[in-house]
Amino acid sequence: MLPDGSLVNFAFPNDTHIVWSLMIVIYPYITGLVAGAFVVSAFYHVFRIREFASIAHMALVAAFCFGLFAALPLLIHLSQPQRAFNIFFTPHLSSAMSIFGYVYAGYMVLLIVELWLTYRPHFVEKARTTTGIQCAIYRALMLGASCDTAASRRIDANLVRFLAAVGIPWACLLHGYVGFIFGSVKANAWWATPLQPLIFLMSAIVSGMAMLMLMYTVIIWYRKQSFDYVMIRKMAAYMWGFFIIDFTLEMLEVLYAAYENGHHWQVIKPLLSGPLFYPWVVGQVLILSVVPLFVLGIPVIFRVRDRVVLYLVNFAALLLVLQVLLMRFNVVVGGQMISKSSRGFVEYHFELLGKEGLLVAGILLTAPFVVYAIISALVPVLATPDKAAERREESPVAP
Amino acid sequence: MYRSLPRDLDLPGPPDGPERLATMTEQSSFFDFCKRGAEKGAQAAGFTCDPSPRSHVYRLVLLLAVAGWAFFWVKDWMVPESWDAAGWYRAAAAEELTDQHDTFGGNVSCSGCHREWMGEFNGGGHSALSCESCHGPFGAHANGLQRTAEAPVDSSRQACLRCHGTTPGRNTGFPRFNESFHRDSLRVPEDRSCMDCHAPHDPTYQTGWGF
Amino acid sequence: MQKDRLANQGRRRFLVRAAAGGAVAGLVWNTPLAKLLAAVVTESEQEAPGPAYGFIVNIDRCIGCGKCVEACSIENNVPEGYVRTWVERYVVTDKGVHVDSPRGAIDGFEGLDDEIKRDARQAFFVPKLCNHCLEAPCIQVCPVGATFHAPGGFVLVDPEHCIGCGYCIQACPYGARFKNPETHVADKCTWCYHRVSRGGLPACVEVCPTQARLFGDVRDQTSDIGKIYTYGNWSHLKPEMHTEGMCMYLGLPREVV
Repeated sequence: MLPDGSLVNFAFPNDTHIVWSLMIVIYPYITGLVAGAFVVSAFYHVFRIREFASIAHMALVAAFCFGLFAALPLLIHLSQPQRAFNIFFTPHLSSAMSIFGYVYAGYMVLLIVELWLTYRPHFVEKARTTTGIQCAIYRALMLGASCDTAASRRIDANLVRFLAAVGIPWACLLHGYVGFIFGSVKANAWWATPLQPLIFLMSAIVSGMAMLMLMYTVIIWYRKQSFDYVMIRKMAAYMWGFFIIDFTLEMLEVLYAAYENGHHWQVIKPLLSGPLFYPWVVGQVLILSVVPLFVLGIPVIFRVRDRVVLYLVNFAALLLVLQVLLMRFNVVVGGQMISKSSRGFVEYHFELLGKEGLLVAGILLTAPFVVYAIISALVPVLATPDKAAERREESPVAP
Repeated sequence: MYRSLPRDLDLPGPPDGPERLATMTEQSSFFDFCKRGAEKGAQAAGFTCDPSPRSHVYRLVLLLAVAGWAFFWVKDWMVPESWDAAGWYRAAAAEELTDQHDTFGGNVSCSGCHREWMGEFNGGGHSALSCESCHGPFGAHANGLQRTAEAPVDSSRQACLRCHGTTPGRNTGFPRFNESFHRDSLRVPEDRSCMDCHAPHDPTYQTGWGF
Repeated sequence: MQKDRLANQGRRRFLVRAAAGGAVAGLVWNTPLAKLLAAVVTESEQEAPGPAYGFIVNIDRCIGCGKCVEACSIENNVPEGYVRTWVERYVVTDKGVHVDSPRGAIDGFEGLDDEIKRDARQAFFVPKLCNHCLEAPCIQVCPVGATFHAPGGFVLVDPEHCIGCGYCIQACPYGARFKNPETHVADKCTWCYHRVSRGGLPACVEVCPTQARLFGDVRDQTSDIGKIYTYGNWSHLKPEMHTEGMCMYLGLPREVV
């Protein structure tokens, strides 16, 4: 089915291929993981949801690891990467993209400062007990200020809370504005909706939570420690809630266009029944959204044993992580499939080894986990079993 | 009160007893400290809360301020020289873009020298055409950058049919090649060039029935 | 009324620029504010209007020879596979619209499927190019200021400053932009800025055998283009995009997108 009464697939002569390819698919995905993971740590630090204590620091470290690789796909995508800093030097403020450099750099500084304040006692302790180069590195890391007392920790805790509070709107800005970049392109019917920033934000939080859940489970399972089921149950409830909002907005966007039956639907209908039928209708909606919606509802609504909760939540988290990745693909690539001629579609082919190929995308998506492994080898990220058990005793038992 | 951080991490707890006071007297150098640190243990002289428990925060703020200042200094330095702050572009770019050479000279550039053809051309049915449409671009020749001996013309039927073929969309008022008339009535062989009969500069004039 | 359109655009652009300039001054604390203000003030003094260029395409005159596309590609060394201007052939039937533009019609058009030919109700050619919009989305979205309005209304790309992000290609509703595979920067029609700066015409206008393309100063009321701009019944492509293009079409059928 072709749009706009076309008899042949007519794309404008310059619409020969998809300009924004896999790199621009994984860029919002990784940024979303940053925002989502940060929000989880902020739940603990700012909103004082105690149940997230065991994952709050891990969330912060994970946000930092993802953050390190958030801008790299953009850099790889640029065809003049050596001029990337022009976005800092001459930011054209009428463009939504121009503030990216400042928002991203500022956010990374905030994350680093928050991590630094959190791990300062560790640096001080290490500097005390080591000698030579190692000691010098730790000394430099603590900026030579060795004070570590109850008073200094109180000051740091308050600062961390303040930074987390500032970080929430900032994380929302960092990611909501990615949605804005797409949502504000009036030339593209599949992108142009004011819901786009909200959809990106909600899916970011969902993907961040789901990814943390998977990481937590794998690490605890690998270390043969006991799971913090109170946290897992709480996480399931929050993930479910945010995903319900996310999925509602995603459906609303399409239903609205369909019911309105205007010029947007003219091209969106053939797009969804044509090239996006399997990626969007079947993949993103029917499999990766509807299934986790039910699976995740079970541990939240019904009384389920701890072990079952663990399986259900992780199964849903895996689907949700894929849902968001596929959603990014469907938005970024799907939108460009509509030729500006409105009378045809542009074909998309996966590349394997190219600059924007699957291999590079795979490396970029793996890299944050490698960095996480390195960091967690250097500093304590997750509590040891004793502490986890201790905490479980204090916490109220879940229904 | 908000709980302090190490509750859930394996970080060292705060040292016991009263908070240590300033021990300014023993100011040790960076590497001295690291040498003595292990020997003297946890109570090493280098660890002080002097001048205040916020000193690390002050140092951080100072570091960030210096880094921020350095960044904006570099930024100011990196903005292109001719930057137009009102229009937000590099003004020199507009200038540079005019450096591109003209590949097509235009009819005016031909008529100055090649007067022998212009009479026939200007009076003919193709007088609205650009010379370079058929003869190819001669901007470099007209600007004296390149001497050219000849101006080759594609004399195939296809060259003429590009404009005079019958495709949907071509206005019926426009002279279109009537294939059946030429083939059946005039019996023009398929391989004959249009230019055998039609003078390209004034195509309504026939050079003769050469078949 | 048409004059108002240009004047209003100028004023609005000035205001937007002044606002953006102020925001930049706020963001960048060590940029001398005086320098910025001076730039804004001098611009407001230059109200004496220079030429405002416009481009008019007459659909009824176009015969679809594609000589314009060929000339453009030679003149500007446009890489294979892309075009800065192109011609589309529309054949309207009762069953739907058949549109084609083989390689942008750089070699003109070949014959057509007999069935479509037989069903054709209406057929015409539509030349396309960058519209050099007054409210250009590509200029708005360029994050580094690498695409800009040059005096006269040309929308140009600075090949030395473009970072190659491709946002302008997404933002252009007309498909006029592409990423040049040789220079690796955004590329598009410049209305042959280099030729016009020396008093010439764009190459496509120069070679058009039927004067389907007109180019000139729309403020010059003694010229054809000035009269058509002021009094003619022209229309825009995709008027709902409100980009205020300076490329106007005469006799534009409703099937054209």
